[in-house]
Amino acid sequence: MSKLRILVVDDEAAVRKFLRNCLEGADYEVFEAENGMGGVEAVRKDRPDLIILDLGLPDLDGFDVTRMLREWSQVPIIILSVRDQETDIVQALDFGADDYLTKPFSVSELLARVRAALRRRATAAVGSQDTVFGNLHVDLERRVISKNESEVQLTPTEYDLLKVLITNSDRVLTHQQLLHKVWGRGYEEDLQILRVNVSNLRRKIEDDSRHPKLLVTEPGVGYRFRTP
Amino acid sequence: MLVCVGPSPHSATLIRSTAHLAAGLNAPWVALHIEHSTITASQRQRATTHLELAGTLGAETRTVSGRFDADTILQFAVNEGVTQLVLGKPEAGRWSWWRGPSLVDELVSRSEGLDLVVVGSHGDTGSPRRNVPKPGLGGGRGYLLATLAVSATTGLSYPFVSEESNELMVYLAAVVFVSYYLGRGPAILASVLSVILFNFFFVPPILTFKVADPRYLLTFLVLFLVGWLVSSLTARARNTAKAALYREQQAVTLFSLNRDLTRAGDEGEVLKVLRDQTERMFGNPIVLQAENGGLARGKVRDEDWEAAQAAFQTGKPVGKGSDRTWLPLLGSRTCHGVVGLTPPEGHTRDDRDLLDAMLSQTSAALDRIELGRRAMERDVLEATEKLHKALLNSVSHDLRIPLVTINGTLSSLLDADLRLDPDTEKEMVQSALSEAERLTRLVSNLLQMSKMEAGSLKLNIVPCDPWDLISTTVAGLQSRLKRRTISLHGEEDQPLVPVDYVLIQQVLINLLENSLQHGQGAIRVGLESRPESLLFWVEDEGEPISPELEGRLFERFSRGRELADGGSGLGLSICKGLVEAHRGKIWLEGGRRFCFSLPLEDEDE
Repeated sequence: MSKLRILVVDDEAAVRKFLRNCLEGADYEVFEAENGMGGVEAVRKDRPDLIILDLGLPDLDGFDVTRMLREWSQVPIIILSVRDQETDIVQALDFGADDYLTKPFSVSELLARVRAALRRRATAAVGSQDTVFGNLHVDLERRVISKNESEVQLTPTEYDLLKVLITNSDRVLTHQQLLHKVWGRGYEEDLQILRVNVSNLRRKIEDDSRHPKLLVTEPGVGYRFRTP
Repeated sequence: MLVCVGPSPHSATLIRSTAHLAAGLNAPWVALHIEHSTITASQRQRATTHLELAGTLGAETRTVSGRFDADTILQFAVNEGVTQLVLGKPEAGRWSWWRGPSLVDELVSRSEGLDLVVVGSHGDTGSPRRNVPKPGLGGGRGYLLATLAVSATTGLSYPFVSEESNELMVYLAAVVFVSYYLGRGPAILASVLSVILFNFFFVPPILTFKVADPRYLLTFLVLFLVGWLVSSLTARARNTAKAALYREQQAVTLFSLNRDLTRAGDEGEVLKVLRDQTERMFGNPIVLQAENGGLARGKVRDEDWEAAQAAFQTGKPVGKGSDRTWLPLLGSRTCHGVVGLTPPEGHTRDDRDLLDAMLSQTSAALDRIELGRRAMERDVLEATEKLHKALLNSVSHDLRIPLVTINGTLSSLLDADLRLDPDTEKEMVQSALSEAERLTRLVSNLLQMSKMEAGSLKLNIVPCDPWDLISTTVAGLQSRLKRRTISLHGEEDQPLVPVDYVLIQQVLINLLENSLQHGQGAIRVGLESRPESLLFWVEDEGEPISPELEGRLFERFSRGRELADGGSGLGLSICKGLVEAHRGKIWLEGGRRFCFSLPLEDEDE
């Protein structure tokens, strides 16, 4: 089986080199682009399995690259950013990026995100309807959620929210994406309703809602359903 | 002081009286116009003129809409902190909008804590202007009146007076009277007429112009001389009074200019004051301000612009080629600008002196503002320099220490001669990693600090679940806890709090890191819901912070005793800045518990 191919788009040579070393060490094939247009061109030419994209590129913003790529490609995109760029991250995610990492990051975290993104791509088509997360059992086909063998009563909205999160598990969903998917058009700015439902949902599915393990917050960006 | 202004002609008098009173008391005063629904367009026009008059006399002018009654006036007076209310004495029929004695009476009875000053209407306004006879009366009408007066004196006294020396006194009285009220020319005429009539009617032979006794010639001469002398004296007295009044007006003008100049905060305001004050004497002045060593061109015509520039460059008045005279505003170092004025018809030397005084006062005010600005710039520069020095001192140490470990570890890994056993190697890499993390935190704190300093902090306020905030923060710190533990306390049900999630998380991170670094034992984090705020607290089992340190705990670069424990002294000051940006408070309780409270109500709502 041939190696999975990853495109690294970053204007810093040192960062590219570091990522190449790490990713090659984890047995991926790596190629590089140093600006946005080069990145888009490389995707067209080399058809990578995943892209690691820096937000601060000299020619295009990372979210512009994301938008351009999403017009014709569903290749997983992981955004690299520095702190304090939450709005840019959210924009890139809303344009269809899959995940993000804040610099500086640890190598193990990077590899975990890469694996998760690639796995999602592989299983996206299949989609399991009956899943177990720790002591939480979710059967999306029968619309039954149970925790520690006893059934959990969810409101229709909470159920929809959980369903969206689980079908996108391990992937960060922005507030806008969640609001749009669960409540529909026109609710994208109503953060309060989202917070209340997340908080209620946590109380029902988490062991300790003050220490959420499954439904975790991505500060300033959104939420992620983390598989144990 | 408050005066109400309306369309009535008496309003102008009332305004002037108030201006005098206010200047005497050195009190600010407000001219209020109440626009009620029954006012006509021409009335409104006149009221506006009066308001403008009040404005030029130094009043703050206000217009409110409402019913013209005691309620509105008292309400306004209370809101503006007025202590004296100036009222016109009501006069039936004359002063229609003050009509109804009930208004003044009502004000008198209801004005608790307000002093009322009632100013009389036309008969007696208390204004010195009215005691001075108008020189204009000395015209043809004055001579006619003088003739009439002397004739009337003759006619009235003729039947009663037998002794001519008494009659002489009556004539003298008439001459003094005429000279006082009608001026010098009519007075001389009155003297001459008195001599003639006295001769004709009283000096024997009566009813002829012949004089029997030559001693009467001396009497005539004395009568004439007295008339002339008295009229000269009264004329001089009148001139003195006029001059005194003018000087008083000058003094008032200079005084109010000075007062306004003292209040003005910047060049623009100073020049506006000058414009307003000169407008009264000279129509429509144009003030041009100096800018970057040159003159800022306003909306002036080319010929005016040339003259203005010439005045600016030479520092001398220039009037050539322009219908205005352009006067420079010469400060101690530079020329601050120029003023273009149209000298009024018949302006005097005194006017010119007053103008010079006004211009030099304005220049002095501009000098003061410039010096003040320079001093402030220097202070800011000094403060910035101090900050930079402190930053450098504090941070250079903190930046260098982690780099020592990181560099050392990396170079030892490369060194071919060095044989490290795998455990030592791993330990070194781990400590390099934690030093790198420390460096990262320091850099992000520095960035946060400079962001706050630059005032570019933008809050993205959204309702947040406080437990979510805490747990996310605690989860992020899990890897650095080592043997320490963090436990959460407080009700599970908490209201959503409107905050910037990321920034409040930063506050929690800094407080927790503070505990991890400088504290000991188990760390407890809690939430308490208060009536209008949410209280967060973080505490550990370390040694209580001494009260001396507590005072400057949240200041920049203040840290505990040991320099070596790695705090930059930035963390808590950032916490304070971020919490205060959320309109919250942060404090230390009992030496070890850091608390901060955030309001539950969004500012906009």
